[in-house]
Amino acid sequence: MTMTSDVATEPIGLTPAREGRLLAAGAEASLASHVRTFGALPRREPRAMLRELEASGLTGRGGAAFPAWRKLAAAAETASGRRRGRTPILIANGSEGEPLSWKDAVLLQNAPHLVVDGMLTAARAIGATNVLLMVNADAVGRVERALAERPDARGIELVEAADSFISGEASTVVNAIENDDPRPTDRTARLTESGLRGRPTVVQNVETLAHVGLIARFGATWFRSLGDASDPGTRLVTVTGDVPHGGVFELPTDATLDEALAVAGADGRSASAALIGGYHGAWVPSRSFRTALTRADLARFGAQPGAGVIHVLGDHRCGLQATARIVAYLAGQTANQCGPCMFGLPTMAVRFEGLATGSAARENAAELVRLSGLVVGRGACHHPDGTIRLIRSALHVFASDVHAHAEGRCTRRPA
Amino acid sequence: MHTEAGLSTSRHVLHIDWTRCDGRGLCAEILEGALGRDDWGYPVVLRGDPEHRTDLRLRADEVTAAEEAVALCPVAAFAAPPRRGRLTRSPRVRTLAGKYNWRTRAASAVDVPHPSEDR
Repeated sequence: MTMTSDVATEPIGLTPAREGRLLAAGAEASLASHVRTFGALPRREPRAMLRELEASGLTGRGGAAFPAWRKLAAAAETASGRRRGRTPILIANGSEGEPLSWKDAVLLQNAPHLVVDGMLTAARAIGATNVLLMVNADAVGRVERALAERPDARGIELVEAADSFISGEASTVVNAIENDDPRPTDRTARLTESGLRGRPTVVQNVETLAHVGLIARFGATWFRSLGDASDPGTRLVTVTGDVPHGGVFELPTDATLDEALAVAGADGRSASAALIGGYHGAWVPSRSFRTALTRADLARFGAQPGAGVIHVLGDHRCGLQATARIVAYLAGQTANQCGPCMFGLPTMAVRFEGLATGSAARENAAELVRLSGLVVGRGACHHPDGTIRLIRSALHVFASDVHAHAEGRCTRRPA
Repeated sequence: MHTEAGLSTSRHVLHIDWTRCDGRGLCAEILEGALGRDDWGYPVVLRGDPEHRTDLRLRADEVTAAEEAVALCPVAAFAAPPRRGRLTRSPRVRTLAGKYNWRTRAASAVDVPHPSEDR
């Protein structure tokens, strides 16, 4: 059995080392038990470390799944290139705005030292002089205590994140730190070229960095010994919804949806679908629960592993009503900066509500298709695009429900 | 160096800063055929990949009109100058915009090289 926790503060039991990598030092691990479990952090030569990370195939665990080494290498390259003298900045991103995810909270609560190890390793690999750690308000105390335990973390600045859905978006993180303005910004250059204070900036999710802390010790071959060949290792997932024991679990990256449900004590036969990747994610119908949670296998549903969110919808619930609630929430989370998002999302929320309640369902569904095509690809951040991904997925996966609603029926009795 | 010939290549891109755009619609009038307007008046790039409609890739014969659109935009949503409290705008864009100001005496379509291209 893998590790689990219903809330971030609940201690996590010791886990078999093979499956439980990130949380192997146990609940709320002190520096002593951290070092006892993993050994001391070796100081790796920067180039060798970047090569090791490339060989490991580690991808970002914050949602975008970008190769971790490539971001680091890009920032290192900018710093050593024409604009010499602009030393890179490393930001560890633990601001988790997604309501269905608390894996970063569990990680920071229980294994802050592994995150710090990854931060120090990555900072050394790119020659970063400023190292920041952004976490939600709840985690500040625990992380402060961990940082105080070790002299090598003295240079790390702790920053409290804003509490909003889009607070974790990379340009938002930079804007919040630089201007105290937690809204996305218009970008024409990559952050690794010009980010915080115009300096090459790497924003990495805290789980990604925890894996870096392990790869620094045990190497790429060890890392690749679990998971999918093209996207190896393990990932933390948060399983919620109609399951007996929801929580955070560590799974190999090639685990199937059925396996993820099993660790949460659920049986896929009582579900109608699962939302994968978060509120910006896509639905996978229960008949396809043998799908592996890899990018390649999820692609045909328009889904991605994202930040490891798995939200299970019982077959007694209406998928359109569930989606309508999420779209309404997302419409309320617009930063009110970009017109197509500010006006388009609330309009789509109203249309989806109509579809879900069965009023003019056919017309509302057609309008949702048109509005999705109108708004997509037109914003400073991906909030509108992510919302449209969810809407399109729901119209596709719950197509028979759309049909039923248009005829004044619902295929499921609302709970 | 950006020569006049350089100005008419298809590498010229009109970049919309959605955080500034107010949907006044002058650009859509000036660049009719390349920019339309949505239900709320905001510009819609009418060509290219629908998933990436923040940048309008300009045809050579549209560059002058694009420069006019940039210069006339009442909220400067195309070539944004630095302003107080918003220092995250990249220095590279400022430099390029400044260069165009100097060469053409009008705020210009921002030339955005592909990220992998050497500058």
